[in-house]
Amino acid sequence: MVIDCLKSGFYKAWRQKRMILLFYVFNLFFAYLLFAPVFYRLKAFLGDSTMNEILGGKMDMGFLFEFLHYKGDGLFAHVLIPVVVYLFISLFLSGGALTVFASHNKGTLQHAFWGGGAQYFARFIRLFFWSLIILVALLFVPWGLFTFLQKAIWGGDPSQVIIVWGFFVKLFVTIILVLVYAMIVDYARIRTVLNDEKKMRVMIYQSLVFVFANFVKTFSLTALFFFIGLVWLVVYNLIADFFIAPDALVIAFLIVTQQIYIIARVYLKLGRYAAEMDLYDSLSFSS
Amino acid sequence: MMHTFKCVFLLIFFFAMGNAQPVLFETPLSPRIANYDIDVRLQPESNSLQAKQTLYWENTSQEDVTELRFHMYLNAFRNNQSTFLQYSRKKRDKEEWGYIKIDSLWDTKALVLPDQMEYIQPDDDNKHDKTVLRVPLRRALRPGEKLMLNFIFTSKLPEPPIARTGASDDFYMVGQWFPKIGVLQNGEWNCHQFHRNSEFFADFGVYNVRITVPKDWIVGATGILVEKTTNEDGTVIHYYHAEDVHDFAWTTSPNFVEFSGEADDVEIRVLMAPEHRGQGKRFLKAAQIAVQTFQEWYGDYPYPNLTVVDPKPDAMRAGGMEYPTLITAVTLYGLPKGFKFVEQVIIHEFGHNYWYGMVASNEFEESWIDEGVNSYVESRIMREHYGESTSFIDFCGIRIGETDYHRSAYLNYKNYDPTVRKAWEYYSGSSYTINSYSRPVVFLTTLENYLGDKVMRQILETFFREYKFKHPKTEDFIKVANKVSGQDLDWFFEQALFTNNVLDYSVSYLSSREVKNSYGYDFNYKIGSDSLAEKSSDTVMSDSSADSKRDTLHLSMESDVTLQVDSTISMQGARLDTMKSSEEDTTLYHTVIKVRRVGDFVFPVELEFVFTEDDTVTEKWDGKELWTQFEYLKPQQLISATVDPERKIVLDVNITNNSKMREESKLGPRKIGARLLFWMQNLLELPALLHL
Ligand SMILES: [Zn+2]
Repeated sequence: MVIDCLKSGFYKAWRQKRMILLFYVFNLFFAYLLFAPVFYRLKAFLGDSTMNEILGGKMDMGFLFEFLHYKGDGLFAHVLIPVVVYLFISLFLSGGALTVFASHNKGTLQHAFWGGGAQYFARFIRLFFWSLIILVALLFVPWGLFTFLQKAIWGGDPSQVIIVWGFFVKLFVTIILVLVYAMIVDYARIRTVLNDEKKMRVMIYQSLVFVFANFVKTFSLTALFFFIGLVWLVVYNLIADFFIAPDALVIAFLIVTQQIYIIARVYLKLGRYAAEMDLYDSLSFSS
Repeated sequence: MMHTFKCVFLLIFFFAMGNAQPVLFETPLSPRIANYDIDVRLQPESNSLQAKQTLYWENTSQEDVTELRFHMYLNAFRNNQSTFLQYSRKKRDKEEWGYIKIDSLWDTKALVLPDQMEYIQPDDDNKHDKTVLRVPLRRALRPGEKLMLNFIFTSKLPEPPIARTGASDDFYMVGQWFPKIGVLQNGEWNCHQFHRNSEFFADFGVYNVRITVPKDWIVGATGILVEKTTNEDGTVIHYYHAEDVHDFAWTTSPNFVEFSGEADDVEIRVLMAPEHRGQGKRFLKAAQIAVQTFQEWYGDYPYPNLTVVDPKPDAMRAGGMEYPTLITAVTLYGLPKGFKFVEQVIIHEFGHNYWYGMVASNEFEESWIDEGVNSYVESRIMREHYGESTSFIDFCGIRIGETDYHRSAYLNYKNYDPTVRKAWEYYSGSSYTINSYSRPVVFLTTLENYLGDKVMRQILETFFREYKFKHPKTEDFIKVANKVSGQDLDWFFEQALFTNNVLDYSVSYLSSREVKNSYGYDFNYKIGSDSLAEKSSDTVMSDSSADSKRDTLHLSMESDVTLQVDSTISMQGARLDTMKSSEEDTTLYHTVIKVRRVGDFVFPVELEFVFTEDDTVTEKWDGKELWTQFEYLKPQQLISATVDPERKIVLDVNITNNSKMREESKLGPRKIGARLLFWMQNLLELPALLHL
């Protein structure tokens, strides 16, 4: 069932190429908002120095330190606002995407997408804020409970072996729990769209019940998507390593590879929405 | 290299015969002015030391001495009013305090007046500081007269360690723990208080130290282990002997994991915290590289052994410290090999056995000599063994060279202080650190590139040879550098050491235009070759009314002839154009490059002007004026102009402004832009990776 949902998710997302493009364009646009101030500051600092040419190859650490020293002030301060705005826009877009997948291609795509986005935007924002309680509760397990247990067992001044391995264990558990949190949010959104639900607290609770009632299946699907994302990241890095020569054509290939990777990430995200909706459908139906 | 000690080492085994003390060096390597016999017992339950000390001291000055002065370093941690701790806002538990107190003091000639001894504060008049003890004498001690002083003292070690000394559970790093006599220089005591940023200064001598610790505890100490004897109460006395050193430190713990090896003729013992046992071989390897390279480059390490101590993780503040023949390193459990600070610290601390240990400069007053020279040498060795651009970090594609790291640190405090300053007189702790470590790395690397690696090595080798077992000063280093290089380098050291001058050269203007019209003024010039006079005479015209000084004009024709312009004629600011050359159809370009000295630091620079791939002109400029100008008339257009093209002048605080291109390259910005945009796209999608 899980593999079937995965396949159908990818298939359904593939049929929505315009939606993939739209998600990608939004990503590109907001990334540009983040990129532009840094880049133009960098370009101004570079002036017409030969460093322009040198940087076509490997990063020059002497230059990087110099740039950060002279022009680094407040460089990252502006990052926060576009990231937050993008998060909310993503909520809007996810409403649109889920509506499209829920409509089974009935009605026009534009109508379903934009209409759905607008219809569920406010609910998804409420859902997001309520869900933060779940996130905090989940993260308390590794960073509160585990830390407390560590202290109780090994004292306040444990061996470095415990500290280092303890950290890795906490990190691993954090990733798992963040995936669980994401599942809860995803299925709450899916249920909201499918049933036009309005009470988000109830949605979170019902989603929580749904996720844990079918934990093996829900988690398997989510973990599979997570794993595929990691594989793509590794593949991208392997390919990108070839494009280091200081040559205009090589740089062009690098840019193309990077953008293909980002599009693949967007496709993965939409595939997950579709697959999770399928899984929800089939599990609800069978129960 | 001379290795006499190995046979001398055997003499140790004969010492017991006559109950004499062992002998390491038949001929003393140093003036043995301050010699100590100490019996010390560790009392782990109170982190304290009970000790009896005999000091054999000689007045080697030409003056009478009416008082003695002692460093009582541990009193820096006595309370929050000490000069060391007065600005510390940290609240300390009672275990965290440390002190040293003399319970009794006497001498065989009844010269000292213990009733009148007092704490003094020669540096800052802080009456609460008790790190310098003055002991008046009943009568003056004459030049050449010797004194045998007996002390009974108690020391309490701070827990956890502070300033590289103290305890942590059953780990002890015991440094600066005994009453230590100051240095008498020209009849004056050089005995400074313990400051937050200062280190140490002492005279050489022989140490016989008997350390009593609980049974089965492992001990590491300065010098060599002579014997171990077990007391009736089960404790064990570890008898250590050291010669021609100016300090004695030791460590003990029941938990050390020992590794041993050798490098050349030096035995290396590594005492690892159990958690870090996996890195024992890494420590050993770094120590071997240090010993071998120092001996090869700078001279013999005369001592038979070296002990490397890895403090337990919660005593990391005991790490990264140098004592004669004993150093402390630092690491973290699971630290990847790409983070080179393990190697960096071990090579650095071993290096101090040369610069501080043997070349015993005054760390209070001229920290750049020990820390700066040593940091430079350490970075040079790191470059040699771990790669120029990977000697600091080489991990997951992140590559940072140690010189780059020091240069970036230097940028932050580039003009707060001159390099040479008393340790407590810098603008801040950071300024002290930068001026003592990073800035010397940067200017000594610049000097290395200027003089060549071989000459630089010879300078340091000579400095070591001439000043080992002495107390050299900054002027001595300069004297050696001048002598070995055969140059007067005062201009360099004056700026690098005694000013806060910043070095920055830039290519400020560049033009390279096709010559179209034949207009302008005439001027006089001499032509290098008579045969070319006719050909050149109608080639160049210039405005002779300009007034700035400029004595050469480089006019490279197709025949690559350089025309020398009459030195009385100035070209600066001149309008320079040309008649068409003798070959009517050759297009000529008039190129002007202006180079500025933006900083105050004057340094001769090399310049590179690229016309084509095969036509690169290199020039030299003494860099003294505020700016200079270069002009060329060539059939090729200029591509780029660069000051210091080989990046030899690491001191230059802005390398980006060192060059200009006539046509800006888009390559770098495109590459960085692509990567930056991609990072931002990923940043935005990061929550999606975790399905948020
Ligand atoms: Zn040091």
